[in-house]
Amino acid sequence: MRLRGAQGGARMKRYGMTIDIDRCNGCGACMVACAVENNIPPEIEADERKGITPIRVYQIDNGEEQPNRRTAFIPMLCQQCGEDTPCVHVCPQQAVDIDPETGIVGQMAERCLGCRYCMAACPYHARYFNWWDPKWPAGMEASLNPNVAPRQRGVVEKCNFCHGRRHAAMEKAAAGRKDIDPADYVPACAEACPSGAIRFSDLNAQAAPADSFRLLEKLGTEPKIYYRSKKDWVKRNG
Amino acid sequence: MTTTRRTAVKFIAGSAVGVLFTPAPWRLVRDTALWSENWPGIPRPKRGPISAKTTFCTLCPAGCAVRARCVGEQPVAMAGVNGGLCPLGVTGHHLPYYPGRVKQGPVEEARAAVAKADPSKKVAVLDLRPGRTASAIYRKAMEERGGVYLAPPQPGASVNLAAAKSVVSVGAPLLEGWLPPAEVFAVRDRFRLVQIEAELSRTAALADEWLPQADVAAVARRLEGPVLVIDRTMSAATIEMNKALGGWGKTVQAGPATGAASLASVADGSIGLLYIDETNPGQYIPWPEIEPKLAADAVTIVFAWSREGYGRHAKFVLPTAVFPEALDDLPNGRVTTPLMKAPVGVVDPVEFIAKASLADALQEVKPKDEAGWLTPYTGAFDATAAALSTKLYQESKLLLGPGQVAVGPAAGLAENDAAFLSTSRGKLPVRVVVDAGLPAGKARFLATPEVLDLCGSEEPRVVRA
Repeated sequence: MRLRGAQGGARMKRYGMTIDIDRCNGCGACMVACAVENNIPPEIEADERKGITPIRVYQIDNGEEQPNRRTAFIPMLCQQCGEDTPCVHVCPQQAVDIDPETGIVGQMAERCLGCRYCMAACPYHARYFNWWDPKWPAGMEASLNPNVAPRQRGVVEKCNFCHGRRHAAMEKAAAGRKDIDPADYVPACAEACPSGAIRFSDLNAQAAPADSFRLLEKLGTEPKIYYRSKKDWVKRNG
Repeated sequence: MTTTRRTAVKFIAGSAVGVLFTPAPWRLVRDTALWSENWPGIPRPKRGPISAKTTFCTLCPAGCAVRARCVGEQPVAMAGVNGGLCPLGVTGHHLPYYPGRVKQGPVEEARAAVAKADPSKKVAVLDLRPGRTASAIYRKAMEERGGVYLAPPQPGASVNLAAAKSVVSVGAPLLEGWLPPAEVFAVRDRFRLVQIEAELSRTAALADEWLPQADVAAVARRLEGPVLVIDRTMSAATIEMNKALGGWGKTVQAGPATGAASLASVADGSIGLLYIDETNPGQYIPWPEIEPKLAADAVTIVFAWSREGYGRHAKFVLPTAVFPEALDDLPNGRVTTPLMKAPVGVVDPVEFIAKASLADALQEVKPKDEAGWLTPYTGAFDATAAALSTKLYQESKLLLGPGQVAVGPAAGLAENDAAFLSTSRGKLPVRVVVDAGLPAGKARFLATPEVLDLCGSEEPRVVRA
C-alpha cells in the first residue's frame, strides 16, 4: 500500500521521533508515563511476555567481556512504518490503519478481535496482547486519563503517539482555527524523558538528523522512529 | 408440499451456509467486539473541566517543579515543568491509592503513651528529610525540651555542574538520580565525564570515559579545568581534592547544615520517647543502629503513610498525608502545595510533636535556591511504591525489584536461582538476576528498609539457598 497523504503536501504531517541512545539512562520514565497516559493498569501477574509496554526500554551490549564490555539502552516502540506496513496488511478487521494526514499507525481496540496476526507480522515486536481485565487498585480509577478509554482484555495494544493528546491538541487548534501548535502535541514518553533523549516532531517540518539510523531498514518498512548514537557498536546492532 | 425431517434439515443447513454470504455474522462479530469494549465492567474515566496546577514534587529532596493535569480537583497526569520527571514523579498522583497505605492510626492511644513516657529519659525526633521548615520546628522544640534532634548523615557539599568543564566521578551515580536528572542532562553536553568505578553502572555506560580503576588525582590533573571531583557522599577526602584543584566556591561549596546531632553521640538506652517523621522518606538509618539507643520501655511513634519502613518496628504508626496531598517545603526552600485533599484521619506530625502550625511557619519561607548549585541526595523514595513500577522490574528488566539481587557471572549462580542475602545480622531470601556488568564479589540490590536493616554498613554476601 502506498501512503499518499503522508508523502507531502503543505498541511500534511509526518510525525516521528528521534531517540538519542547516548542520552538514555534506562530510567524507564517513558514506560511509566506511557502507562499513565494510556490508562494501562498495573497487573501484578504480568511478566516480560504478558505485560503491556507500548514503549519498552531494552539494555543492549557489545557482546564483549569486562573490561571491554559496553552497554546502552534502547527504547523500543511501534516504529510507525510508512510503507508496506506489515500490521496493516494482515489485519482481517481493518483495526489497524495509517492516518494519511499524520502518518500515524493507529490501532482501534473496538474493531480488534485479538487474532494477533499483527503481532506475528510486526518485525519490531512492538505490539502487545492485552491478557487482563482493566483493574486498578481501589480508588485509583479516579486518576484515569479522561482522553483515553480503558481497553478490555483480548485486544492488541501498541503505541499510537498518544492519540488522546493529539485529539486534545486538535480541539484546541480548531477552536482558534489554527494548525496544531507543536508545543500542544507531545507524546507522554517524550514529555517525561528526563534526559531529553526522546524528541518528537513533524518530520516534514524538521527532518531527522543526517547521522541517525532506523531499525531493520533493509525491510523497507520506512519507520518514522530514528535513532542516534556516536558509538559504532550501537549503530551496528541497530 | 409436506414438511419432512429431510426438508427441515436441508432448510437449516442451507440457512447456515447462506448466512455466511450475508453481512450478518461479520456485523455480529464487530458489534460483539464493540460491546465488549464498552461493557459495564470497564472503568470509566471521570469527565470534567481540565485544568493545570503546579507544585513541587517532594518524593525526593530534588523538589522538581511539576505540572499536574487535573479533571476537576483530581490530578490525572504529572509532567515536569523544566524538563522530564523520574518514573516515581510521573506516578506521584497514584501514591494516595497505594494498597499498603496507612489511613487510620491509634492517635489517642499514642497521645496517652506520650503522656506516660518516662520523664527521666530523653525525647528525640528522627527527621528523615532535614532542612525543611518542619525540621527547624522540630529542632527548636527539642532544644526547649532538652531533647535530641536526629537526622541521617547528609552529603558534605553542593556542586555546580554548569561551572565544570570536566567531572571525575568516583562511583557517584551522577546520571541516574544522584542529582535532579533533568537539571543534570540540561548541562550534560558542557562537561566531559570520567567515571571511575569497578561496576559497569548506567553512569559508567553513558560516561565519556569509564575506568574500572584509576588514580583519581592523576585523572583529574590530565583533564581540562575547571575539574569537579565527586563521590557518592561527597566525602571529606573528595572535598579536599576539589580544594586542591581550586574548585572550592566555583564547582563545590559546603552543603546545607542540618543542625542535627549524630546518632552515635546519643548514649545507649537514653531515649524514652522517639518520634520518627517518615512522611517524606530520605536516607534510612538501619533499625539495629537505632534500637540500642532506646530505653527498655521506650515509646516509638512513627509518622508515615506506609508500614514498610520504621512502621515495622514501632508500636504506634500514625497516618500522614502523602506527596500530592501534603503541605510541606523542601530543603531548597521550595514550598509544595496540596493538589488534592488528604483523607480524614491523617495526622500532621509537626502539630503532634511540636504543637506548632506548619502552615503558619511556611508563610515566612523564602526561596533559598542558588542558581546552578545542586545538593546530592543519597536516600530517596522506594520507587517500587508506585503501582505502575512493575513495568520496570517485572515486565522488563530495567530495575531490580523487591527480593531480587544482581550478581556477576563469576558468582556461579544462574538467573532466577534461589539464594540468600547474608550478613552477620541474618539472611534474607532473594532471587538471582545475573548482570554481566558486575565484577566478581559485587552484588546489587534494591535498598529497601528490610535489606538496609539486614546490612547496615556491612557488605552482604549472596549465598546459594
